[in-house]
Amino acid sequence: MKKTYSIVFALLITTLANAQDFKKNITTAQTNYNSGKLQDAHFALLQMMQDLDITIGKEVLKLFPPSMDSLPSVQKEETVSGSSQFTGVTIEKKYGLFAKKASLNVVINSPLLNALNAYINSPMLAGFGGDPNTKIVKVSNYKARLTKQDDEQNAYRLEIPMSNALLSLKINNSSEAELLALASQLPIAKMAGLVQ
Amino acid sequence: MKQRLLLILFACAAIAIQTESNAQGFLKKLKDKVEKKAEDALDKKIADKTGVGNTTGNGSANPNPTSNSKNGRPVNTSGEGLKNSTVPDVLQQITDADLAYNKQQFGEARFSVQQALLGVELQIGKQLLQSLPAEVAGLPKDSTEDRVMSARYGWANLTIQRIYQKDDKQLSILIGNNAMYAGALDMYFGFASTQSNGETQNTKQIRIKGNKAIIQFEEREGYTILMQMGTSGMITWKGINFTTEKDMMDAVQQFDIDSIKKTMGEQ
Repeated sequence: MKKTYSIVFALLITTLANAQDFKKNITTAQTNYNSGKLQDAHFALLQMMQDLDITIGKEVLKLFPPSMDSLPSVQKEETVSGSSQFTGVTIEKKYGLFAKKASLNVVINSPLLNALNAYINSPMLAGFGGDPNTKIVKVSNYKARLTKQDDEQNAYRLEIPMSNALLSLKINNSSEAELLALASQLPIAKMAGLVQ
Repeated sequence: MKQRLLLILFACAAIAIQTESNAQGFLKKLKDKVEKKAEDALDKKIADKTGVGNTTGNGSANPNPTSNSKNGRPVNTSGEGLKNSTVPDVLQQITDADLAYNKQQFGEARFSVQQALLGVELQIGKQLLQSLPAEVAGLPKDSTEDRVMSARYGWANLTIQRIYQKDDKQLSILIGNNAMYAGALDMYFGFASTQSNGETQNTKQIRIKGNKAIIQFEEREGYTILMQMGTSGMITWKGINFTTEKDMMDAVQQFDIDSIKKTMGEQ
């Protein structure tokens, strides 16, 4: 119980700190713009964008499930990181303490999105790809790519494009059916609404 | 005798059939001609009334030949295009972002910040264009080709273009705040051995007012100079129909690089 309180308290503190940064950057941007320092105003606006992305990332993280079936989440490996410059923000949570592990991440403005969307929406491209370990599936009305990974035993990866973000769910020592069942329980539409 | 009579009768019948078919062909041709004339006359009347040229008349005069394609569908020949979108009001967008943030509408706040960034970048671009020389190497600027482009989404950010042109000689400058290009250029500097193929040298490293750059020559494209600008920017000059490398270098030296860097917020 104590642990839960401390986590909530920590989240509250970080949210407040973000809000303060955002407000501070608003003032900096306004002051610099009014005094004609366009480059400094530009930098402050970029900082605001980063603050916002981190805030959005934290909101998305709240939607990540506390556990994946029998796999508990690893609190210390929860991350919201990155910048709004290129790849955007990465939100990641890991599950499982022993041999069986899963990880769920969302990358806003992922550079892989365009290629994945082309692959998913063009049957011809998917056909020519010719990878026997890959197939297109549907999860909660979202088209996705399911891949059986070679490097680990019975490891699967599911990639779901959501407007401008990419959600990936990875699990090892598992099966295709289990991965799809876990994915169907994720609030994908809510996450997509937050990141768009 | 009987055989001869039969042969004559057969020949007569053949001639009669031939004549009939000729007559039918002639009548058909006459009918087609009359129909065509009537159609043309009708089309002309319609065209006169509506002011739209016809295409059905085979070989008939088309009052506006460029307005119709071969398949009879109209082809656009008019329209003034889109008006330039106005530069976003930066201060208003910042206020909107603040309001949206307070309401926890983070997506809206993000959009407003993007718009504010766009506004600031376009203003920086316009400032930069004003600071560039009006004439370089005897070539006056072509202000109709001045461009300031900014895309907050995707890979390319701020890009500014200016073209100087006289007759068939042209110099263009493209200033981009784009870390991807600069990174690629940096990689290029690391591979000095790729500069020459051993016979003719098309690429070499140079310095422009103390800045690292690369000059290239391609027969079809002319001279190209790429200069790294700070950490995330790059300037590209393209010279068409410049006689020598020296001519090109002299033209490039006329730009105030330090001022460009300062305006773009680079060191």
